[in-house]
Amino acid sequence: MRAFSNSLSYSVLDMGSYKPVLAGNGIAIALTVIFVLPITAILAYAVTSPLDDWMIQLGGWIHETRGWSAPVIETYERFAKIGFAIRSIFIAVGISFLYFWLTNWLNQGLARISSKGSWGRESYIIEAIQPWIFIGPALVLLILFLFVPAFSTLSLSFQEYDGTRTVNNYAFLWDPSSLGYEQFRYAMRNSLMWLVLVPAVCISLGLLIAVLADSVRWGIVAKTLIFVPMAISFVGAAVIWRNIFAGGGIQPQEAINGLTPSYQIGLLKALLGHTAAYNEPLYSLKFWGNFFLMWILIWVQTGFAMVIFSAALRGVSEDTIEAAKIDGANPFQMFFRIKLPQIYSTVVVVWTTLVILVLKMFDIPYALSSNDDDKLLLATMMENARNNWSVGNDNVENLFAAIAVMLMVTVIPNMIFNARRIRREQKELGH
Amino acid sequence: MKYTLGAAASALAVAVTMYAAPSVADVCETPSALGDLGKFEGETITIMGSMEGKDEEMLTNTVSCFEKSTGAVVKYSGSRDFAALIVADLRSNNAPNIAIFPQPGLAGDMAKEGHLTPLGQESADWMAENYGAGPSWVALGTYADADGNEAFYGFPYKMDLKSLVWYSPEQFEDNGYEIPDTMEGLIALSDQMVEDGNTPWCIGVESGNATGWTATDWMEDLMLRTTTPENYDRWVTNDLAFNSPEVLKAMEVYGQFSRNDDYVAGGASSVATTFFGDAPKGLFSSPASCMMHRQASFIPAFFPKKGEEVANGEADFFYFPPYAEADLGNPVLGAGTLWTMTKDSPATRAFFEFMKEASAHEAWMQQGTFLTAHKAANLDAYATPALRKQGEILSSASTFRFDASDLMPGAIGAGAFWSEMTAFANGQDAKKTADNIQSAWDAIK
Amino acid sequence: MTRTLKHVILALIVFIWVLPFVALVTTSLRSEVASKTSGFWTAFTPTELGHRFSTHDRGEIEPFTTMKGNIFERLNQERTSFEIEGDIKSILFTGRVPDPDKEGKTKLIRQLIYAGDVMDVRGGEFVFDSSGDFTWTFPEATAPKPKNLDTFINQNPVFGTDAYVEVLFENKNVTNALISSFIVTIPATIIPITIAAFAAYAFAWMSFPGRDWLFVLVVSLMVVPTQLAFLPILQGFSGIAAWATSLNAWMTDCEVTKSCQVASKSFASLWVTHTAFGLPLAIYLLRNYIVGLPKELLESARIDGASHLQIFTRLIIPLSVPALASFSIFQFLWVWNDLIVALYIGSAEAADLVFPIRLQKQLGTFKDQLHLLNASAVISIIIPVIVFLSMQRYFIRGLLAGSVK
Repeated sequence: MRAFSNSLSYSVLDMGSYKPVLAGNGIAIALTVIFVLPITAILAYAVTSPLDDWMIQLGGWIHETRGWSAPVIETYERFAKIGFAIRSIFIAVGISFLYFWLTNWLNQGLARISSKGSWGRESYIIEAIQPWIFIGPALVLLILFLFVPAFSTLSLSFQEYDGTRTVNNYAFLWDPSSLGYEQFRYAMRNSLMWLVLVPAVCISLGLLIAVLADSVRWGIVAKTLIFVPMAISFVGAAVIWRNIFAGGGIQPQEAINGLTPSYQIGLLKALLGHTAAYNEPLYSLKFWGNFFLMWILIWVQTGFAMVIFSAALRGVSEDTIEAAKIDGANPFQMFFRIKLPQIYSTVVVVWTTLVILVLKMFDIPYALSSNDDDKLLLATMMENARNNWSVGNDNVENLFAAIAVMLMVTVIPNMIFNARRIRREQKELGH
Repeated sequence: MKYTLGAAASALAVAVTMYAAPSVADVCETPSALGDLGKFEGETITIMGSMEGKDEEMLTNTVSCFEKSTGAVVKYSGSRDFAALIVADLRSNNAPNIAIFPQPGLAGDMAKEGHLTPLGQESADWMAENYGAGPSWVALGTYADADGNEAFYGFPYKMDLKSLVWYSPEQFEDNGYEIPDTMEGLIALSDQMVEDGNTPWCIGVESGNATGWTATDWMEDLMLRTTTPENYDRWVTNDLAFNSPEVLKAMEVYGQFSRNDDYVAGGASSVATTFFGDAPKGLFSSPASCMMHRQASFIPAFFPKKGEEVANGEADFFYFPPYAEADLGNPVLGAGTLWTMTKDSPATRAFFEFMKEASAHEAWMQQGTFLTAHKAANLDAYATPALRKQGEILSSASTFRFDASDLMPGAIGAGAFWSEMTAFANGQDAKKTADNIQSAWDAIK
Repeated sequence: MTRTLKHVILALIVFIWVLPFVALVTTSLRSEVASKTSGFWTAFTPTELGHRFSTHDRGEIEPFTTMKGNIFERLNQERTSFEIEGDIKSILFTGRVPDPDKEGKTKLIRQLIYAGDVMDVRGGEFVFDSSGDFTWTFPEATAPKPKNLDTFINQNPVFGTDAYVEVLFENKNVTNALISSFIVTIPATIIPITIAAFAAYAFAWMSFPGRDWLFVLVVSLMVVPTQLAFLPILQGFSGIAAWATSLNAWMTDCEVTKSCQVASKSFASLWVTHTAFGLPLAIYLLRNYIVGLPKELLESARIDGASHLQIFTRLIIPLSVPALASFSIFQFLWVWNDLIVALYIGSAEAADLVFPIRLQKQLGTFKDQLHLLNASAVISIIIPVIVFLSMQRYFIRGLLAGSVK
C-alpha cells in the first residue's frame, strides 16, 4: 500500500480536490511554525539565562585558582560571552529538531484528518508537503538574504540617486565617450581571462595532484600541504606572495659610485636578475601582471579542487578499474577513459563553483594593485564603485548596482549548462 | 545581546573605564578648568570614526575626561573603512550618537540625506567667536539638508597642518644646505642637491584605494602659491574649471617636482607605487635616500622611530615657502575632522558642550599630534615645541584654506581627483588629466 | 621509472606550494629594517646592510684628545632584540671640499672609507677596524658634538620574535578577538550544514513540482556578491532589534535608553547572515554527493516502509559524513577568515571584534611593516590549520586517503 503511494499517479477523480487541501495544510503548518518557533526560542533564552551566571562563577573560580593577571571583569565578560554562545548552539539545534518534529507531526496529523480515511490520500498529502518542509528554512533564508537584495539591486541599477528611472549607470560603462568605459573594458577583458584560466588550471592541477598523491605513500602529507593555503584569507595570500613577486626594497640601497650592491626583496625578481632600480612588483607589469595575480588565486584554490576530486576518485567503481587493468590499460588510458568519465559531474560542480568564486573575488587585486586600471576585475570595479561613487547626487550613484547586475548575468550560461545536466541526471535516475 | 550581566553591564563598563583611568589622570589636568557639564550616570554614547592606533588611544584618553566629569560611558569604534561603514549604518537606522567625518564632503552628503542632527545656531555663533578665523570654520561645518536649508552640523575638532616640508637637520648641516624661504630658493636648492649627487625629494602617493591623495595635497599647496585664494575657492566648487590655465599651471609645477627622475628618490615611476608612510623614511635611511619630504603634520607617526626624531632633533620641518615674485602672502593648507551628531540624546548634547571647553582641547594637546584654532586654548599645553611651532604657523598664516579634495564631493575628492593625479604621476599628460577630472565634475552636475 | 617520475613531479609541485610559507615565516622573524631591504633568502647568510650610529651621546662631555669606542656597542646600545653583529666593511664619508674645477665653490664628495684608513670627522682623525673598535683623535682637547655616521656592515643572520610580540600583545584585545572569532565561526558552521543537509536531500531524492528549476535558482544565488545584501540586511536587523527592544521593555523592568536596548549588530546577526551566504554552496555540494549514493539503498528502504525523514536521519546522514565534514571545513575557513561581513553586520564593540578585524586594526595604516604583516598572516593561519589537521584525524582521513574501497 505504501509502496503504491511512491508514484505520483493518483486517481483522476481526486485530482482537483488535492490542491485546496495541500494549500490549507501547508498554510496551517507555516503559520504554526512562524508563531511557535520564535516564542519557543525567546522562552528558551529566558529560561537558560542562569547558565550565563554559572559561567561567570566558573570563570571567576578559574580566574582565582589560576591567578590570571587580567582584570577579573574581563574574565567575567568573556565567560558570559562563551556561555551565551554555548546556549545559542544548543537552542539552535534544539529549535531545528523542534521544527522538523513539529512539522512532521502536524503534517501527518493534518493529512490524517483531511484524508477521510483513505491511506492513499493520506500518503499523497504527506509526500506532497514534506519536501517543502525540508527545504523551507533554506528557502526562507535564501529569499530574504540573497534573492530580495539581488532583485532590489537590479531595480536600483536602473535608478538615479533620487529614484528616477535611468539607464545612465549602464551607459557609464558601455558608452565609449564616458569615463567608465576604459575601466570597464579592462575589467571585462581581465575577468574573462580569469574566468577561463583559473578554473581550468585549478581543475587540471587538482586532478593531477589527486591522482599522483593517491598512488604514493606520502600522498596524504602532500595533499595536506597543498590544502593549507585554503586556510588563508585572500588578503593573507596576497601578503605572502608579495615576498616572491614584490619589487626592490622599499628603501632601495642606491649604488654609490657603484660600490654598494642593490637588493631585491622578491624572490622571483631576484632570480630573474632585476636590479633595485627596477622597482616595480611583478604583478604591476602591464597585462602580464594579471597572470601573477591569477597564480595567487590558483595557489589558494587548487586545494579545494583536489580535496573534492580525491573523494570523488575514491568513489570510482572498482570493477571498472579491474576490468581495465585486465585489458592492459596504461595509466593515461585508465585516467582519461575510466576514471574521468565517472567523476564528470563532480568536475562540473567544481568548475561551476570556481567560476563563481573567480567572479566574486576582489580581495587579491584590491590588496595588491587597487589603483591599477590594467588589473581591474568586475568585482574590484564594483567594490571601488561602492566605496567611491555611492555617495552624493551624481547620476551614476548606482554604478555599483549596475556592475553587480552584469556580474551576476555573466553566470547565466554556466547555470543553463548546469540545469540541463541536472535534468539529464535526474532522468537517468528515474525521477 | 542578552547577556545576563544585563543592567550591571554598564556599571561594569564604567568600572573598567575607571580602572583604566589612573594612567590618564594627568591628561585631564589642564591649564584651563573644565566646566560643569551635568550628570549622566549610566548613559552610553557611541562614537564612530576613522582614527586608529595612536590617535585612537589619545582620543580615548581625552574622552575619559568627559566620562569622569559626567559619569557617562563613551564607546569609540574606529575603522579605516569608516566612510563605507558610516554610510551603511546611517542608511539602515544603525546610527551611532556621534560620527567623526574626516572629510566635509561626506558629511555634507549625509546631511543632505537627512541623517545628521543640526547643532544649532548658538553653537555656530559660539564657534565664529571662539575659533581663530571662526567664520571659515563655521562654513566648513555648514551643509544643506534634504530641503536645501543650510545648518551647522559639523564641529571641527583636531586639525592637521599640511604646508610643511620635513628634513633632517643633520643632513642639511653635513651637506651645507640652508633652509629656503621662497619657492624659487627651494627649487634652486633642489637643483643644487641634484648637482651634488643627492636626491632632493621623497614622494609617495600610494595608499590602497585612497592612492593619490598626497599628490592632491601637493596640487592644493601649489594652487595656493600660484593663484589667488578666491580662485582656490572657485576651483573647489568647480566654478573655476579643472582644465583652466590656473589649475594646469599648478599641475605642471607639481610635475616639475614629481616627474623629474633626478628629483625623486626611486625615480619618477616609483612615486605611484611608494606607500605614503614609507616615503619619509628615506630621510633617515643609511645613507639617506632623500633630503626633503613635503607632508602634513601627522607624518611623524610614520617615521622609523614613530616621531621621536622630532623630539630629539633628528627631524625638523620648515614652512613650504611661497613664490617671492607671486606676492600671495603666506598661504597655509590644512584639514580637520568634523564631529557630527547622528543620534540625539541628552548625553550627546553634553558631549558637544564638552568640546567647546578649552580643557577638552588642552587635554589632547598635551598628548601629541593635535592642533586647534580654539582661541582660549593655552598654547603652553602643546606637547612639544614642534607642535607649538606648527600652531604658530597656523596663527601667522595670511591665508588659510582647507584641503580641497576633502571639500569636493566624494566622487571627485575621493575618486577622480585621486586616481587621475596618480595617473599624472605615472606619466599621463597634464591636459588629459585635467580634462578627465573635469568630465567627472560634469558627470555629477 | 614512472614511479620516480611521479615522486619528482609531486615533490616539485609541493615545493612550489610550500615555498611561500618558508618566505612568510622567515620574514616574520626578521627585524623591520632587514625585511624591507633584503630578500628573505638572504636571511640565512651574512648580508651587507647600512646602519647609522652616533659617536657618542648628546650632552655635556669632558674635553678629550682621544676617544675609543666600539661601533657595535653604539648600535646595540638601546636594542633588546635583533642585535647587530658582524664585520664593519666601510663607513660613508660626506663632506664639502673646495671644488677644483670651479673657483670659490664647494663640491660635495662622498667616499667609502675602509678599515684602517683615516677619516676627518669634525676636525679629528677617525680610524676604525672591522671588529668595530674606533679611535678618534684630536690635536687638542675638544668636546665635539656627536656625529652620526653611516656604516655598511656585513651583518650576521639574526632572528627574533618581536613581530609576534608586537602583533599579539601590544593590544590586549587579541584574546577577546580569538574568542569572538570562535563564537562567530562555530555556530555559523553548524547551522548551515543542518539546514543545507535537509534541503540537499530534498533536492536529490524527493520529487515536487519545480524541483530542478528551484535547485538551479538556489545554486545561481551563489553568485550574489555579499556586499549587495548589506543594506537590506542591516535595515532588517535594525527593525528586528527595535521590535525586540520594545518587547524587552514590555516584558522586563528596564528603561529603554539604558539596558533594554537589543543590539541590531551582534553575534546572532552574524550567525544568521553567514548561514544564509553559505547555503547555496552547501546545498550544491551536498546534493551532488547525495545523488551519487547508490539508489538501491533508497529504494529498498522505501519498500520497507521508511518515511523520508527516517531515511534521511538513519541512512543518508551517516553515509554523507565525508561530504558534511569537508563542507564544514570550507565553511569554517570562510567564516573564520571573513572580514567584510563581520565589519558591516557584526558588533563594533572593541571586545567583540573578530580576529581578522583586530589584526587589520593592529596594523593600522602600517601596511609597509612587512615583518608585522607576515607575522599576523602566520598567526591567522595557525588556528584554521590546527582545526583542519585535528579534523583530519576523525573525518578527513577518509577523504584524503588513497582510493581504497
